[in-house]
Amino acid sequence: MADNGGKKITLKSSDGEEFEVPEVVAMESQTIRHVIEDVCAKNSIPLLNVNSKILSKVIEYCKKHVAAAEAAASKASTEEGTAAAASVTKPSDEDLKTWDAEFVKVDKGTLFNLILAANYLHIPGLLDLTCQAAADMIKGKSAKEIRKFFNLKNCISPEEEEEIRRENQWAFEEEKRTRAFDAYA
Amino acid sequence: MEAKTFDLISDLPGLVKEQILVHLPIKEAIRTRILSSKWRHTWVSIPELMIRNEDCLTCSKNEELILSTKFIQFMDWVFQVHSGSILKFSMCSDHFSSRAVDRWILTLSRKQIQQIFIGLDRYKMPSGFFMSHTLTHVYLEKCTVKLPAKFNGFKMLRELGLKYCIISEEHFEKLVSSSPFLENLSLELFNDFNMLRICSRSLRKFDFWGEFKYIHLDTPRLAKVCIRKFIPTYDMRYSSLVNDLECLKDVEMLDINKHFVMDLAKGGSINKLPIKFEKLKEIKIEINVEDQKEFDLSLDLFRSAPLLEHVWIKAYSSKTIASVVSANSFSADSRNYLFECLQTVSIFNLSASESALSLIQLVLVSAPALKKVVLSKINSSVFFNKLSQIEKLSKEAQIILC
Repeated sequence: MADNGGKKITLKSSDGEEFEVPEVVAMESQTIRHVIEDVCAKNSIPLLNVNSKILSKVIEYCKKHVAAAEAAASKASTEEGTAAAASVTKPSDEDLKTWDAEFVKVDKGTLFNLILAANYLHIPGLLDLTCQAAADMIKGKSAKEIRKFFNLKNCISPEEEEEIRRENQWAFEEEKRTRAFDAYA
Repeated sequence: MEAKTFDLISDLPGLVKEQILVHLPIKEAIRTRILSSKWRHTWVSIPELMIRNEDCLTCSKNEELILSTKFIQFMDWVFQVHSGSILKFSMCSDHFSSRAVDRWILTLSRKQIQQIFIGLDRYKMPSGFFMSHTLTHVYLEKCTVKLPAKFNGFKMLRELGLKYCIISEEHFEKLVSSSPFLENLSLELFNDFNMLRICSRSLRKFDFWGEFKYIHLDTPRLAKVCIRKFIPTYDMRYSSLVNDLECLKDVEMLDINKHFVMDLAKGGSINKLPIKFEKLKEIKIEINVEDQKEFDLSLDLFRSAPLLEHVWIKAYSSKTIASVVSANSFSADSRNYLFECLQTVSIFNLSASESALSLIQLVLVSAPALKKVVLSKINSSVFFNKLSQIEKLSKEAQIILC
């Protein structure tokens, strides 16, 4: 990674901790990018909605992805086969994907805080990654299981539930066939 | 800070909840509607619809996978009740109903659709598609594209990708030239064109993988080009090949594969290219270093690009062993600006041959701004020793083996 001592910027978490990062890493966040480019960079940017634990994870993600992008740019890409299109899969993508998969192996609370941070800071890659992880937690579970897993307050009346089931019959049908043992009480 | 009774997910901002649902198969996404009243309406305004094979297929009585008619009915209902815009739609499936997809695309055209990805075998793009004036990104695979007579272009289109599609030369040309903001064009598995003609005042990036006999580019803003041909085209005159290169003379990045190089190298004896690549900064090229013609062609190219900064060479070898290739004709000409701005050279797959040595030597003695030469997959210490003994013009230059 090009460690040429580029411009650094300080990010301050909601609980007062300061993180010094290279500007290019911070700019992975479009929110921060706006502040730097349009509001003329201050030396320290306070992030009132992100605590230090989450901010350090976010910075970890941004650092990794900036480094991966730099590494990919300096490699030859005259590969036999696919044309370089918007859908190209670079050779280093596999490693990055593995890293990403490990990165989101966190407890639910942290994951959802990461989702909120990615949303607030406008980091599309991180938002996509964390939302996919959340979706993976939902996938394959019955409504009852989902409610339990996420501690959802079930404030829906049986009548309303019945109405929704009728309306969306197709979506619930197969489930009945394959998950006959599950009770939707 | 994770209380056992804390509801983590329902209070996420609506847009975020929608993003999560987008990553689920449609059925499961819909089933979230019964989780609680906070989830009932999330799905109805989801901004992206991605239909996967698993969504639209069902098991028939004899365990075959077939298109589910219930899925079609359901999607019809979805399009009816959905509120708001659908910005992204993608559907790739082995089985589908043309009429149904036609209906859905028509609805999408009225829902401010921006990005569309369709991968359906021989699906004929419907009129609704051509009426979607808000489209910015279009990717079609295996589709048939026939422009309606009164088609005026996609006024907001920025990226277009066509893979293995059926489209006539005339319609393709019109599709591109009538999109005034098109910046990225990607054509994959395109083998039917005699004349590949692209006229666009906005195009910046062009990727091509397939075959063409002739190419004509009227693209003043084109900066990055990548051309990969399937097989070399035989039976061509040199002048037309020079034309091929001529239309690329204003690009900043050029990436060409071995088959295209073979075509270009057929120009006979060493003919200095009468073209100057005034803006070319990066070249990625696949050549057979042992073939004199290709060797010379690549040097011709380098010599015609006075601002060239970065070169990537992927070396390949053919079965015939040519005689030792030399670069002598170039060092003698002191008026050429070969490698004046060159900073890095990366060579992959190079064998430790005399021709290779000759090429690298030329680089080392002609490039005053050279910073590094990266060679991969060479494990001959003899070769490396010979290299280190060459006197480099640029004192900063490093040779890196990896």
